[in-house]
Amino acid sequence: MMINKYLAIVSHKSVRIACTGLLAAVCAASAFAHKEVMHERHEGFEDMGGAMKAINGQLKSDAPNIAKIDKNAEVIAALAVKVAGWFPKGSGPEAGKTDALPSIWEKPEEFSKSTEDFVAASKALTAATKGSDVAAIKKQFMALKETCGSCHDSFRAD
Amino acid sequence: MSQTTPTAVITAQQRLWDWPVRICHWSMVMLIAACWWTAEEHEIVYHSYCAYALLGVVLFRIYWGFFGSSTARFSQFLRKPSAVFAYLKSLGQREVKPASGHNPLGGYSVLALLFVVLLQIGLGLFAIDVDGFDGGPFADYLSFKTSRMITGWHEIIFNVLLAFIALHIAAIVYYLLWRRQNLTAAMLRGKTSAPGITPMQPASITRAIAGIALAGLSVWLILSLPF
Repeated sequence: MMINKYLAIVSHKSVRIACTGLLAAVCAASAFAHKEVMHERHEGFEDMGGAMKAINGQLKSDAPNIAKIDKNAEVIAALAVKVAGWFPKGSGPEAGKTDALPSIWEKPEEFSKSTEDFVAASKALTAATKGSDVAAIKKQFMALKETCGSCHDSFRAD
Repeated sequence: MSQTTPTAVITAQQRLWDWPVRICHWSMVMLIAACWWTAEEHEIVYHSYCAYALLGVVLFRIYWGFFGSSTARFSQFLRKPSAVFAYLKSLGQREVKPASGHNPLGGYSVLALLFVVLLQIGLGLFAIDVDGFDGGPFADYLSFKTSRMITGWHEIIFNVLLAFIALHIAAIVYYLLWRRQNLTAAMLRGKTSAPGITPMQPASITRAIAGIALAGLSVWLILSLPF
């Protein structure tokens, strides 16, 4: 008798709608929670790409402007330390449009090693850009570029 | 007599596509594949080399469309819309007179493919890879964001190109299975045994050499544009 009454309530249309609504709201809230960090990381990677492009442009020229290279290297180094924090669990493809691969959360040790390599390379570049040795800057820049590429190979779609 | 001896059939073969058309066609196939693979692997330097080679081939093919052999010329294969409609109406028929070159719809397919490939290469000149490192020669003049936006278009146009290629292959399969005409063999060997073909009129080797020189020079000029 009690069970029947209970079933009658659960199967009631308005209750079902409310439950579905609640579930949708929970999903939306969790997606929304990551929206901000996903936006920040997108902007951050875009700024680092811009800085990479600017440094590369200087290094390709006949007379590289080391002050400009240093400024952009500092931009990368300041953002590099944030990368590890830009990928909270649940901020992958399930949360919206992103090229972040699920492998980031499936292989957390490898991913964190990648971010550490990146931070180290960015610091090595800013150390080099304090000097005037263009060849040394180029060497560190290429090493930094390698860390971008190797991480993208494993953890970024396409 | 001609019904029994196979040699009679072979001697009845007519020239359909000259060697510049065939070389252009198959090198485009290989270079587009190479461009796709090098892009997938983020080997942007090799990707650029393949694209420059492809640009040269496309430019030569456009030149050959004006100065080349009869079946290569735009004036011969870009037909009136009424011819295209008549062709579309005949798609259900199995027994049709083989075309002496491109069919009325296929002619526009050639134009569309050449246009999409040119557009794709044009966009690629301004594109940059995700690392902000390797890119087209003109990406240097754009901001990273703008260049990435163009790279997005470059990816979209590649899918458009794939759609046109799929359509092209579908048409060939349709001809093979429905109409029993092997167009691929003709594009490989340059000849066809299809009856009632008007033979291709070749163009001189001097014109081909002039075209190769012109295409090469054009690629070099485009790449050395100071902007």
